Amino acid sequence: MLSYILKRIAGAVPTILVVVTVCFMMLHSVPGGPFDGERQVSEAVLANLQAKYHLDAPLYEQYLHYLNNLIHGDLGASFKYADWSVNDLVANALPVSLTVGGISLVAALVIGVLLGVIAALRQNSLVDYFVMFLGNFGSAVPSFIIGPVMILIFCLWLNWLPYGQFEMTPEYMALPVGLLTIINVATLGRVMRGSLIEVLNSNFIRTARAKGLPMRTIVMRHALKPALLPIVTLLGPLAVSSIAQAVVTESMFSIPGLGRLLINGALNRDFTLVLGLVVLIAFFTVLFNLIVDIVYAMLDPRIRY
Amino acid sequence: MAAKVPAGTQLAAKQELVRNIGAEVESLDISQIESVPANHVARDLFEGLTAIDSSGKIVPGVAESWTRKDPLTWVFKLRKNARWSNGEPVTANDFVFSWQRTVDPKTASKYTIFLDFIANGSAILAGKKPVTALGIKALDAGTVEVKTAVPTPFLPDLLSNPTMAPLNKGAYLKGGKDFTKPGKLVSNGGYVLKEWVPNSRIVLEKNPNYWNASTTVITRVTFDPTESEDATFKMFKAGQLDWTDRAPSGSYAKLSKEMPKDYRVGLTIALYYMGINNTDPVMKDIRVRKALSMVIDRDVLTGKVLGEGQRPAYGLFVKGMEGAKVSAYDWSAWPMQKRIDEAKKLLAAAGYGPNRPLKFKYMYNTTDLHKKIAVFAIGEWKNKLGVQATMENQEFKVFLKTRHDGAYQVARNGWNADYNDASTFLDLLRCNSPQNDQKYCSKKVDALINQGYASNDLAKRSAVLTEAGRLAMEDYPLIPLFQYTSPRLVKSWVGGYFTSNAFERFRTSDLYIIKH
Repeated sequence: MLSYILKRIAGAVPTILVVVTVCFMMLHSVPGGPFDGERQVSEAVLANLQAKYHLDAPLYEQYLHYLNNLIHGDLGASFKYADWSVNDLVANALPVSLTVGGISLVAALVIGVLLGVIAALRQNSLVDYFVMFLGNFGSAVPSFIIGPVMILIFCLWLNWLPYGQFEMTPEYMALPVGLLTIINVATLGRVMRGSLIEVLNSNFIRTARAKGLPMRTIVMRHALKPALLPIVTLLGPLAVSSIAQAVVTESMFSIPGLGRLLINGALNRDFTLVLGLVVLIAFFTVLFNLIVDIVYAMLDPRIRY
Repeated sequence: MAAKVPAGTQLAAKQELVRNIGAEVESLDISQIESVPANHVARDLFEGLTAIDSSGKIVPGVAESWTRKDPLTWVFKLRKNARWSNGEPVTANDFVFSWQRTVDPKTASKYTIFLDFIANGSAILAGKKPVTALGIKALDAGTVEVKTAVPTPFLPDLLSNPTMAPLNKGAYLKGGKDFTKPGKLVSNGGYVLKEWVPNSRIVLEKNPNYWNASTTVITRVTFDPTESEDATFKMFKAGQLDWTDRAPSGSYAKLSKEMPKDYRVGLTIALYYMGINNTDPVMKDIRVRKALSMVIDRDVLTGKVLGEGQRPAYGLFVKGMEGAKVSAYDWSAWPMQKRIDEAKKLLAAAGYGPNRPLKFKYMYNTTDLHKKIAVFAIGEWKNKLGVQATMENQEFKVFLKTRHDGAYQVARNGWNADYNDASTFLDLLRCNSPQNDQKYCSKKVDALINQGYASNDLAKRSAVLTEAGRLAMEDYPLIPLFQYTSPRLVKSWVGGYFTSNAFERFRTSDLYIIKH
């Protein structure tokens, strides 16, 4: 397993390198630069700015300069936010995104698995229909519709929760966490239901039933573990999206997290900030997929690396 | 200067204010700030030789007085009790250090417009002269001498901007790259930096060492960067904000009725216009440009479509601006039908009519306001002249490049004055000016502008610059539409707020909270 992990980490390096290279090229080919504004700067000032950020060098030199900094853990200076390095900005935003995304993911996992199991065990019952409805609703209705409705109800009509600013306190986190949880519950619940039904219909469960084992024992001891495998597969991408790609949610609730930074970075043509976030997202994707693979092996003894 | 609380006013026990500034600040380093939000915060942290009060009037800042020795030389006497937040005195050398740092090409400041007016500023920025050549000198610890590149009667106005404030050299060197962070930033304004969470909040507290601390009433101000007008409106209603950067657009009638005490609208020194690419094969014909301008009904646009108190514009200059008089086209007083008839004749003379309709593209960047105006203008042109204009919207940065490159025919544009003088608007039309997206160039106009700038006689200067603006606009290089307003929500209990402040430059130290 250790050699597998090392191999995966080694394999991740070229992946991240490709991501950085493609993103670097794309950013530099987009029209409009970081210093374009309503008020044009003079040529002399533009030259000074380009020299400061090494933008006056040939593109390959800029690329090598960026890579060299990256290897040393330096994501560079933000073009827009002069007082902060990209490392500073990420360090400020990451805990926020991790907290909101992490809590919502855990909540969605617990609720989603639970609902999925209940629905699978009570097929074609009201509970099952409810879970199916929830799954379809969460998948079909986008977060930018559910979010404002939640704001309208809880912040403006009922006046239970604050809106607009963000603090790491339960009242501010309730809605964004709730929204992300609903979206993830929908996916996880549906997958869990389908997976468990499939497992319950398999031969080894039939054998267990024939032996007269009680349903609770069958589910807990024999069915749940293999049924969780698709859930584990999903967790990697869900974790990444919960943390780094909650762009809509973070904008909607004014959360100073990575998603909002990414939007502002792209709009401002803050190349280094966007690249830094892309590297981070690529890193998390690799990391979470690695964790998923390890958990996979733990759940299914047939899988060996 | 500082809060002027009217006699008999009962002040609230808690003097704290939460101001929305509409965006995250790019920096708190006065050499790097350029945006309006950053200037709002910096104005509370730093004070220059002069300052601006809540009504928009230039008042003494660190300098208690100044004299203009000759057309190019000014001498500022600093007040003896001016102190940094660490207790050190503010000296003339702090100004010299600050300005020289900003003008240094290595600092790579983006917003150097004020330094262009200081002697040798442009040459230093271009790396052609050393920073020591800048036209600022400390005659002694309490006296600053400033030499300007051209006669600059509005210099006190320029110097009220945070970019021209002093910098504490010791704190800057000690703080290194983090010198603007809480606990390290040493400021000389009414407030000190307590907390800065990017994209979340900036908190300032009263600076006890500020020379005018005794009349500074508000003890704590929080700057909120929330961008959405809709979100800030809800936050304002929920009591989370005392001040919004902008009220939701299109809500003038509703808010002025429902929240008359909170809804405050003032004219700003800013012009919304349509830029015309004067080198475009279709648009280089003055008859076409004139016809397009004539038929847009500014009264309907401002009164019905926008409805936020905007003022129709028929010239380059706007109301409240110094240094030139506002002028308007003669036809602006004509009935619309007469304007339409004349415009039709112009187009016909240019070869356009029902059989050969004029076609062009109107470009704008994506916002509701710009879209609304585009739809209105295209409707005006089509209905009144049969012109077939198409709309194209672009993402902001792409749009800016398109416009600066002149890759357009007609495009949305606007200008917020940096300082109160006609020269800032004339930059839109000067040959080779970086702000001249219109690619317009008239030697006659440029000669008049230069003549005006060189003049030491204020009345003559104003007359010449007025003529320059009028003459340029007779060439129809752009289509002025309206003067902007600043509709904003400010709680009725925030005292010291005046809508006459056309630059919207408010220092928290001038405000106070009334008991409510």
